[in-house]
Amino acid sequence: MTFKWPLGKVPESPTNPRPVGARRDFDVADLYRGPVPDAADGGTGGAPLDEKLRQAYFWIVNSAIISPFYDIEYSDGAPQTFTFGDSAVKVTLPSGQSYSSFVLLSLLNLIVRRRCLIVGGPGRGKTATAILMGVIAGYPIREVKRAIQHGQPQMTIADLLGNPLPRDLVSAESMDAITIGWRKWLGMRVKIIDEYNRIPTRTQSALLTVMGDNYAEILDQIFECPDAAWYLTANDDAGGGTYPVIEALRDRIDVVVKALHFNTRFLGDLLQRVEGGVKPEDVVPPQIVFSEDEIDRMNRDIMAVGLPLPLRRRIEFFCSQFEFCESAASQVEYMTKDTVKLAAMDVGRVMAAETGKDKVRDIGSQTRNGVSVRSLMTLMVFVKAMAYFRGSPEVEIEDVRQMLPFVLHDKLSPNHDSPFFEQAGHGPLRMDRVSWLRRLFDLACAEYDRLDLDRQDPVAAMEAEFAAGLDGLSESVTRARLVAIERLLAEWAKGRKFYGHMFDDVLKLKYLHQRYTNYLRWVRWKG
Amino acid sequence: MEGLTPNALGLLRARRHVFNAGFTAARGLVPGLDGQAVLAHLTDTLLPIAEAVAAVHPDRAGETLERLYLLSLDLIGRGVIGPAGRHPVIGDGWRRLLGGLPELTATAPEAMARIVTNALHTLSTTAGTRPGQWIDLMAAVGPVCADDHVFAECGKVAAWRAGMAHYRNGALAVCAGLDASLAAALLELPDPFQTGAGQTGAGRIGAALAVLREDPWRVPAEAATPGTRQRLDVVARVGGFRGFGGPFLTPPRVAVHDGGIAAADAEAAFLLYADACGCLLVRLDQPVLPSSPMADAAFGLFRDGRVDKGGMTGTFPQLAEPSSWASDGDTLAVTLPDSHFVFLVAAS
Repeated sequence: MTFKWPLGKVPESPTNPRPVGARRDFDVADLYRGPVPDAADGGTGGAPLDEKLRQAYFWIVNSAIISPFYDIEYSDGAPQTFTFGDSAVKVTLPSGQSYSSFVLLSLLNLIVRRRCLIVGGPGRGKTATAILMGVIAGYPIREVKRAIQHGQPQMTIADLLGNPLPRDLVSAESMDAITIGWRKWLGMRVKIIDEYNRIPTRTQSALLTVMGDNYAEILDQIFECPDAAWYLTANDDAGGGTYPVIEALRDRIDVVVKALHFNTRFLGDLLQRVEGGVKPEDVVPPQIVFSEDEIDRMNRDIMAVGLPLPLRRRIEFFCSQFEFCESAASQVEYMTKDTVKLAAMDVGRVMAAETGKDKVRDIGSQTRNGVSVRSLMTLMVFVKAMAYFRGSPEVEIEDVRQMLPFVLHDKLSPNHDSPFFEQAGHGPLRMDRVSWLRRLFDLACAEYDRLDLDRQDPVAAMEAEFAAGLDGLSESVTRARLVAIERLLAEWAKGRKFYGHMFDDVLKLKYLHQRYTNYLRWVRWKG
Repeated sequence: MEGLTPNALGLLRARRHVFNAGFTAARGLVPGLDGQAVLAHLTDTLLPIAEAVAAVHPDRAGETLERLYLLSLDLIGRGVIGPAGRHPVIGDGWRRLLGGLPELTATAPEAMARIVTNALHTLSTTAGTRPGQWIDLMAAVGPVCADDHVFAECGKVAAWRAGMAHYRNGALAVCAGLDASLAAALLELPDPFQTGAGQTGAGRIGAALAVLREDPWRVPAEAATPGTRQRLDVVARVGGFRGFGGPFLTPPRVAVHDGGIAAADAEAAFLLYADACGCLLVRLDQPVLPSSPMADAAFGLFRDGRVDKGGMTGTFPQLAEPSSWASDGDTLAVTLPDSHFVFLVAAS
């Protein structure tokens, strides 16, 4: 993917126009609403920041990028679908406003200040997109370019972080007296690491400290870094390269997006770009440049976006599927894929040995690990950011469905030995993780609906009862609740099958049972 | 380019690559962007501005020219400015104000261009206003403005003076916050007022503003020496047949709405804003004439066209046999069954 043309026209606000009534009291400042946007109010004419964010997105996809793809599909009503070829390739024309993941995820990452890995072959605009984000964050283009850390096999920690001043190395009598010349990029709010998989392992560890803990350390000297949006690029999705990427570093990456190929139908635009000799990052309109304060405000606004309880329950249900591994242990708490990994066993093999369950229907069999807390936190941030971007006060299920694959891309590792991948038409899902993860979420939702958990969720009802507090609860009521938990467990046990989603529910019931038991003992003692 | 001064040619040569690349880029977005129009705008408007800036800040002339040029490309492409621009007065505004106020332009070229362009665009697209008067007023007060923010504040008052009657309250509030000499210049109060003894400049402006708040038909220049109202007059007429550029398809009727006056024809309803600076109609969402009781009985209107108000009487045969009338206390609006205009009567 390359860039289209330089002097971009920012889409006019509002992007969602609504009729406005005539006002009795006019604002004399309306005099200056006109063809020239005001850079002081972000050029949005005082429009909300989510509007400015959309303007930035649309400027990038309409003016800066050649051949954008619309792979984040939203539909208002049934979309048109066409089927091609023997393998029944479906082409969907979304009926709603759809988005280019490559641009959207990068932009959302800028606002929520997380860590975005852009993967794809050479010359697809990975670094250019990261640079564009730096400019949109308000940094001069020259400063952004100079701050890029280019991964290369000889990169040392000093190259990455800085050097002690030679004079101090000779004359200092203690470590404290050594002054470090820190690299400027450490203090920036947009950090770009180009080809991070070419960085030597030792230097990767130093990078991990900066990425994970937001500080850099050389000779006992500490540099505290500000919260920043990180952009890492790699040619190889699997993290391969000159050096293997250490797992902890990969784990710190929050979202992964792919820079897709160049559509040759846009060669004319490319020619125009070459002839014009202007790069989009050189001509970003000032009205889509965000100040630090604006990004902070958007961050707060994003956190205020609601995540409705029914939707949260679906996310819980989905994520609960993957950690459980029945044959990993004798005690229920340890029946996890993590137990298998810690024992240096192969998760796929252990699960293959399990019998008695429909492994095609059990979506937990499709992964080699569970969803980490860090991934869950990232998922919640990005689904809120997506809802905010779309101007919605609450997260909707489609926001989750669309964001989830990019958050879990490198987090949920597929178990290619699962019978699911042997099913007809599922072969490509071994390679196409975005589609696989989206399918996984769809399957989880279908199961959630089949179990009718929106209406009949006894664990949720018990959670609500418990959340009301134990203060003043009588002995008889406590006993009744204990009995209810025991009955529910007994009922589930009759089903004989123990699936992933039941695992967390059983553990939650055990937790509630324990809390009530302790409380009951205290009530009796109090007498 | 013939006829350019060596200074202008130097400015062009220094940034030639930027201008060429910018034009190529802009044409990518607007394929029909006319190179000749850009050149004409560059030579007629931008270079004189840059030369004016060079006279006071030689070091800023090149950057000012570049910024205004890049801004202009977009505006020319959209038909806002340039030889084929929809509102030639915007080009006049650039030449007279950006070129005439080089100190401000050199300090904040984009902000000044935005202020002038947007204000003149708003005035040009509002029927019944006088963009030329806005330019005159701003050219008069501009040299006294400390920066572009003060210039923008002055522009709000000037817009009201140039006919944006609905800005009246806001403009008077802005005026109260301005330096006394600037406020006096914008209100075109006479010199003796500015140099008179007894009150401070701010006190005199405050008194004049109080008069203007009380009496919408008081001409600002007379606010310092307000005389007693002697008679009633038809002070203005507003509206007109849509076929001739007016807002009404059929003869309108008027009614009191939310303390003000509304006028409506068979299709649409409008709020009426009128004072000594101008009269205009602002379209309402609801297409029907709002009907609420008359705010007060300050005016009396008779079938023969006689109007009474507070002991003053006037007879206006042209208003005989009205189809409707409404008053907000200061103004009486009258419509006739065979006219597309709304006639306004007030004390003068």
